[in-house]
Amino acid sequence: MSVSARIEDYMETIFAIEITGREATVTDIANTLGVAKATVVAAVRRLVAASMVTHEKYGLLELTEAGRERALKIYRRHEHLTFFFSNILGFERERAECMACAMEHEMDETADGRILGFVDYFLNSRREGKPWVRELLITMGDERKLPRPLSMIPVGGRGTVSRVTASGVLRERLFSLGFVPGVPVLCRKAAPLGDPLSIEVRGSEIALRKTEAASVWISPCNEELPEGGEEKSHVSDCRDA
Amino acid sequence: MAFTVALTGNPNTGKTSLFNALTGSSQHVGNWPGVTVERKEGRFRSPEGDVTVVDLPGIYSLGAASLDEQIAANYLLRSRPDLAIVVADASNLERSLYLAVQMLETGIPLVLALNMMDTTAEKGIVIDREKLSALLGVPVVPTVARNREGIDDLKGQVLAELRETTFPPASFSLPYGERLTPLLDEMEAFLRGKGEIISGLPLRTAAVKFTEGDPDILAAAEKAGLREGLESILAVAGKEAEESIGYDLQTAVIERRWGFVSGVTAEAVQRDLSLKARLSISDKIDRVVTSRSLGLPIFFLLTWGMFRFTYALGDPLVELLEQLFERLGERAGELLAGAGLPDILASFLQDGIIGGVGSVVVFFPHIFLLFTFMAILEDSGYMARGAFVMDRLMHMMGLHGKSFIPMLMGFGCTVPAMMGTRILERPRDRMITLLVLPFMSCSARLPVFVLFSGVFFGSWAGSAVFSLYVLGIVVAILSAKLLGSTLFKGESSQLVMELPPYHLPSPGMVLRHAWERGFLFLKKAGTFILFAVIVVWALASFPWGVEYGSSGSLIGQIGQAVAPLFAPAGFGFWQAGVALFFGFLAKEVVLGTLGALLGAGEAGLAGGLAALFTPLSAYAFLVMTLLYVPCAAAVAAFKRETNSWKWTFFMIGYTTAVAYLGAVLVYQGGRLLGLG
Repeated sequence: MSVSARIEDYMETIFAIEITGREATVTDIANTLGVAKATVVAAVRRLVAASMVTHEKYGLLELTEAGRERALKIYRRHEHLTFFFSNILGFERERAECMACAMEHEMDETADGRILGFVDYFLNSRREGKPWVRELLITMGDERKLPRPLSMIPVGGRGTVSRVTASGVLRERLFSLGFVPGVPVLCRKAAPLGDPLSIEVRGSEIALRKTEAASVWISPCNEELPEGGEEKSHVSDCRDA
Repeated sequence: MAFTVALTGNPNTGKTSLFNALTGSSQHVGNWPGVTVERKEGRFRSPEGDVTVVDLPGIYSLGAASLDEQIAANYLLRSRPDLAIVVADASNLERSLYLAVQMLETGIPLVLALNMMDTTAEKGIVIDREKLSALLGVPVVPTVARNREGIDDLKGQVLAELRETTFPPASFSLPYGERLTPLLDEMEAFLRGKGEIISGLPLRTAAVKFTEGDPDILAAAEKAGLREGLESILAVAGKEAEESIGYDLQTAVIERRWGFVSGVTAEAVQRDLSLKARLSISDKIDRVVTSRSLGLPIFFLLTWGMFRFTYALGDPLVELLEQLFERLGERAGELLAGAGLPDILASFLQDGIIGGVGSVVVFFPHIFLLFTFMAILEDSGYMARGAFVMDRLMHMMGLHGKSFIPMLMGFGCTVPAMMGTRILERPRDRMITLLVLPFMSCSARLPVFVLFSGVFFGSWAGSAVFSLYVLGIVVAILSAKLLGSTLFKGESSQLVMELPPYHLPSPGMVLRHAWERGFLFLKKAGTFILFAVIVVWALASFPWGVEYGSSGSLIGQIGQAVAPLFAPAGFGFWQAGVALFFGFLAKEVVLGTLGALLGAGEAGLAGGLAALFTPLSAYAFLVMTLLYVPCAAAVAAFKRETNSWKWTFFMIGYTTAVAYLGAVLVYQGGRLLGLG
């Protein structure tokens, strides 16, 4: 039995109306989803064919037992994702709904379960006042603090290594030069033609091509420096961070 | 008793100076078995017996990320020297200690040499040596190798350790943290029951290296039949550790090791931050030397200056040597004839041996000078900056930033240029550079170009010569691209290198380095060149009695046999074939040979040439001369640098094929355009 993504939206809408205690009509659905009535009718016909919905004479729509089961799952997923986007990642409700709509059809049960697990764990931790929750929220709230490739750090910019995604020989080379998680780095300069870069790490300067620097992910420090100057007062900032 | 001591350390820590200071002039230079990485060994005497010092390649880690690392790790783990000296840069201890800690884990007794102690004061660094010694459990000796300071102390400490190890070496165990330790314990226990992965390597270290995924250890474990057992431990306990740490095991192990190093550094090193914040001299120099506007011009100026000086100072010396050997040959010829020796022997000695030795020795001045300049650039720290500013351009051509210097040198002489490729660390970059170097038009080809162009192209002569140089560069770039995307496809080029602080190069070390290079060339390439010269002499002289190199000689006959091959390129006459053959000795010999064969001498060559060549076939011949197999000396240098006959024959075949194709294309294309 296949019910395509768009069709799932209709089921979800019918379900949402049903749980408010009303009965859904083609007009209701057309208004909620913002599509033409004719489109809704065509969709409903398909749902009936898949025995997800029964269509009464007077235009009333009702989910079948199987249809309700399925719609519940989608609805729940939608609610979880909306909550995740709005209450944890901090997006506006409307934006969160939109993203949830886009994602819900692509997710499988496992992904659903894991996000649910994460949300639960997060909420519990927040309730218990665990310090990492605050740190996480601050980090997520500040775009500049999100990890980015070392190749995107401006000249004079500082940060700490969060992970190294290179593989093979390059990975070992970077590790043996001291690029490991937690180590502070500073982008000293770029070569005259823009590539390679010179990176300060553990007291020495290392030249890296941008393609190589792209595999070292950096969490930038709180205050990013203006180009070049005034290194003195900031040295300890990042080192101690 | 005789002892073996290994010398290890990061690049740019003054390891070579320390090696020289320890062993003086009693050094032996060779190669590590099967590879082209240089192996230096020296000796110093002591009342207890001779101590052999093996200089290992400069490395950052004891892993497998480069050939250098593999060699060092293999030597330390399998040959197990009696002791190892780790050379650390006192002004940047943290970096040096990472290798030192890995050395500690090998269980080989260590002495830590804190080199470049003289630079710590200006950087506001104070090292608590006793604390460092206590934390690591090894003796620590401060040195300034350039001034031979602390060398006697170091020798004394080494001997004391050899006599009786003060610190039980196997007792060192790096704290890998509560989440890795149970895993390592389990693996160690497993190994204790089953046996060693590499004999002599502490079990704990074997477990650590296996967890890290060190390819050498994995292979050794496989061989010992232990891999499966260890992997099944990793599959359970390793996975658990991974999950609780949040990184993969390799990252976790290395992160802990660096953590330990940072901890030791923080405890043993005090730095005055107010001094650190000031711009160092290196930074000031770099602001100019690697700046956006001046970086490239300064680089070009410096390399051009180096090129000019090498030839300006070297050419007169070469001329002097050439004259010397010519006179020596003549004198010897007279002497031998007077002594009533048979002609054949006299000719052999004069043209074969003395001529051959002469053709080797004339390369010495250029090699010596070039390597003097290169050593200055390298030792001062500029070489890395040069690669830094040039890398973008060279990378576009499929080469490496450091390839530029040998490529430029190639315009002078291919031989020192090939030896100069040693600055390239990665075998891929080095091999591609070596393979395309013969296309850079060396100065020996210039006289051929000039004479032919003068005869055939009149007022266009200058442009013709210039076009040949450009053609050489274009072919080199295209070849680099082609080779990079075919034969060397899988191996990515890489530029991850330290930009060391600048410092004044020490004259002694520079000269020593240059002398070593020149001498090595004479010794290794010399025998090959001599051999080639003698073969050519024999081909030109036999059957005995014919005129040297005439149509009746063996080489003349070969020339006649191959002449039809050159017909599509427009010069299908035997003299051209013979001239090209002799050009293998040295490319300028092409002219001399043609002169002799056309019976006019070099002076009257112009008329003779005009009778044989048309302007078009002359240009095709020049293209051939430019691109075909480089001279015997360059081939010898290539063989020495690659240490591979397979690649040497590939290079000979490739250059000759490209040259032939080029010449035929020029001739046939020209005819199609109606130029013939």
